[in-house]
Amino acid sequence: MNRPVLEISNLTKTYGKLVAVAGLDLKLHQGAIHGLVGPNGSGKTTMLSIVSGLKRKTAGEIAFGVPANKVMLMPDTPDFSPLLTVREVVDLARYPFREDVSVDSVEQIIERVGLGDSIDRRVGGFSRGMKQRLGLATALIGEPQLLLLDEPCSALDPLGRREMMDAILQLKSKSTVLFSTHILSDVEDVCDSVTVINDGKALYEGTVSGIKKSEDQSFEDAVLELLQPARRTE
Amino acid sequence: MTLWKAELIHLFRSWRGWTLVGIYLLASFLASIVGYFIERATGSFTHTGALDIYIAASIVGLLLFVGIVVSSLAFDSNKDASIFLRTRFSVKQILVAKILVYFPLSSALFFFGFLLTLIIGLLIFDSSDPLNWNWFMWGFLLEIVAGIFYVPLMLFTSSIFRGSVASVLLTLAVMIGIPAIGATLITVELLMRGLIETPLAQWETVSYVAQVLLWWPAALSDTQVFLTVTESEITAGTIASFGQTFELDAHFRWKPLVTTIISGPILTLLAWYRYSRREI
Repeated sequence: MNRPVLEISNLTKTYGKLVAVAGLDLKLHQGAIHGLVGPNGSGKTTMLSIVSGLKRKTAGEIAFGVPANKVMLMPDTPDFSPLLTVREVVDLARYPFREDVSVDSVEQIIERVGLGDSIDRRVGGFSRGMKQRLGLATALIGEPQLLLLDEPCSALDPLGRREMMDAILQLKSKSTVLFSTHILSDVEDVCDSVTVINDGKALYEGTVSGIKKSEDQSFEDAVLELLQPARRTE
Repeated sequence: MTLWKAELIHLFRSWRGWTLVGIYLLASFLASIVGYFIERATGSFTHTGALDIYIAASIVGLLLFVGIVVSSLAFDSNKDASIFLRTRFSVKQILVAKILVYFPLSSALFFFGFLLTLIIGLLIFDSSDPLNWNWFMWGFLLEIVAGIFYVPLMLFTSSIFRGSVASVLLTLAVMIGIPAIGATLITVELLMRGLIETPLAQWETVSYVAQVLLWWPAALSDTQVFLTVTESEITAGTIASFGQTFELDAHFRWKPLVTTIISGPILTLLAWYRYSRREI
């Protein structure tokens, strides 16, 4: 099998006595779409920040099978200089990849994320949903081989959410996607595999269908049962 | 789109850049107007007098410039906007782009206002005692060196805090606070020693506190007096600036020049250490 695109072993991050990530392991192969599920404060964003280089790990190993500049993070609330237009923001995001990505791609990407009508509008005053679409455009312009999405649909309307999921599915042939979300149906729709984390620890890592205890159990119930063991006895 | 273009857009699509330009123009205008009224009242005013007023008035531009630069260097204050930059550009690229936009721009604006005031002064005020260009070039060089000191100073103060307001306040506290506290201490010292009647121009040779303060790098800015040296001042061997007379000496303020050269790289390294270790 090819070298994994991302291999994480025993990843740990502590802030003093607080353990944000406690010995996480993860291996992603080319073309995988992997979901990261867990309650608020479970360590999802911290893990993505460490993988993208924004935070330092306390312990553990992270190995990439792709060039470092082909790893791209889209935060849950992307923000930009409010004085730049959509076109300028995406063109600035293209700058590190200007040798490989033509300027024509800027308009194409903007159209693809549904911001074609606002291409020459300044970003200041954009809604959170529009910023998430723009965040996706800035992440995609560099043709990433590993895309880290932190709750990419948290501010999107149902149509926007559908478009985001479609965009993620389209990436499957070219990229590997690791995305965190609270929306469990999204994981079930697009992910090949999933990690359920709580208090920085992985409670489950495997296929989406493998988490279910029985044929009748829904994915949502299976995840909730892992997160709240007390539910099992109810 | 490049980082430096984005920085220029940040300046000139908002009040920041145009206010900065406006303040230097206003300083030049103010120097001309004040000079005009002095000439009407006294019958004589020189073009170098107008330049002295311009240099004093342009301090407002310097303070605004400090606020704009430091808030820009505090790019981590908006975590989400910072993630956009940090995941695409190195900290070095971000800082270099900002430095290469702001510091040449500041010097360019200062000398643009200086040139404008000089032209107006030559046209409407007494210019029989011309500027000496050799001294001007020496003053110009020292002005650039003094400006370069502000790069590591602002980098360092901006690296201490993540927030822009705290960074601006710290920078202003260092830039204004140290001379202000120093001036107070000098006065107290001279009062205690019974030397308060000493002429102002001699304080720096009489006061121990003043002698220590001469090592403060920002004191290099005093060499702006070299920008307006005239032929008659060379003949007299002294230079007058705002009522004070100094001996015309090319090595005037060599102490802050030494500390500027030493402290600049140290402050840059400390700033780099803090920026490069900062987590988002």
